[in-house]
Amino acid sequence: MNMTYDRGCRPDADDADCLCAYCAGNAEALRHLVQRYRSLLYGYAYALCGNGAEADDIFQETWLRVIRHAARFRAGNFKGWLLRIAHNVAIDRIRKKRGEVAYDRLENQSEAFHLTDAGPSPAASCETADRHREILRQVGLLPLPQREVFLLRTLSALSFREIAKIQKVSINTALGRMHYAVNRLRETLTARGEKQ
Amino acid sequence: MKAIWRSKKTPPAAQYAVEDDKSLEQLKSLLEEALEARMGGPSGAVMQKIHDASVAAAGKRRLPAPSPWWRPAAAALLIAAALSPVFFLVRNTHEARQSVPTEIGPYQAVANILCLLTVDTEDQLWEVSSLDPGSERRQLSDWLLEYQGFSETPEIILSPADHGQGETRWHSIPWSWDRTHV
Repeated sequence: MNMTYDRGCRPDADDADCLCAYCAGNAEALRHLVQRYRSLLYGYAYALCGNGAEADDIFQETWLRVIRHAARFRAGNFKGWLLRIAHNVAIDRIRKKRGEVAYDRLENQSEAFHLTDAGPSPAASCETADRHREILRQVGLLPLPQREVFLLRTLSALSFREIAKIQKVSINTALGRMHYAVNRLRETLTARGEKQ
Repeated sequence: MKAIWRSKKTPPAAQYAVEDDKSLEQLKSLLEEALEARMGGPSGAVMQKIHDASVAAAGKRRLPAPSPWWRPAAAALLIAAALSPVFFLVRNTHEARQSVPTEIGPYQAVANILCLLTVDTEDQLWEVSSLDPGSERRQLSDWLLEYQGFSETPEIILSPADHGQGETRWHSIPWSWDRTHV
């Protein structure tokens, strides 16, 4: 057995080693990756589309594409690669529903975001549950490109350079979107807090 | 004017120092908390489908486990040992076909091979198929004299038991010859 194959079998092996081991036929190595990015990828998909069923589909299709194209991954940032695939899957699905709309033209489509959720946990108080719902609703009201930059930055801590690469825009555009998203969320959430 | 407008629309990266903003950290933790509380996770069916697809694809990619160094060598030796009689036969068949006149027919080629194979045997017993007691026996005698170095016609005796037993008759031909002529 080679070293890469060995390292890829361990849960603490790094992403590239896991994928390399998977390409060599070790199915267990991919399971480690799925578990490692389960909550990040699902959270990104869920917060992007606000819909559990849709998030399920994006999550599944993303991993199926990873499986299909694993050999194409070149040494680098696996997380960035994974989220780029997820972004493409999400955009494909949105375009399928809304027709051939350019990504930037989705700025005013945020009303299509319908929040569904798995319901509050039994331990959560009514007030906490309301707060959670409101946060997700406000994130969902952001225009899609801003929402995505915000999610990629906050959930996955990707660099703006990588986010810009995913959205195929300049780094300044990505930074601008983040700026608008944060300002808007700050305003709406603060205003709501003051009301209460 | 256009330049000023552009600078407002897409300002330089340094202008957005959102990383240092404490409210961003708060937003981040609020979002994570909200997601954790409300989103659940991928369904079991989705996880199972991913698992099945990954196992199926990995099976296609799986490489054979490297074998010890001696296995390929041993396998090559075994194959060579198994094939050597075939090589020998093929080589001799080729030589026989080269030396036998075409009009004598294919069975002499078989005879030639047997001759080559059994040249050191004291008492020869040949078995050739479809040997006709008449013309073919004569042809075989001529051929042995002319091409195989026999000084006199070898005695060719057809096995009487096999006469007229159908198309797959086999004939024993006991004979002797002067070795020095071979």
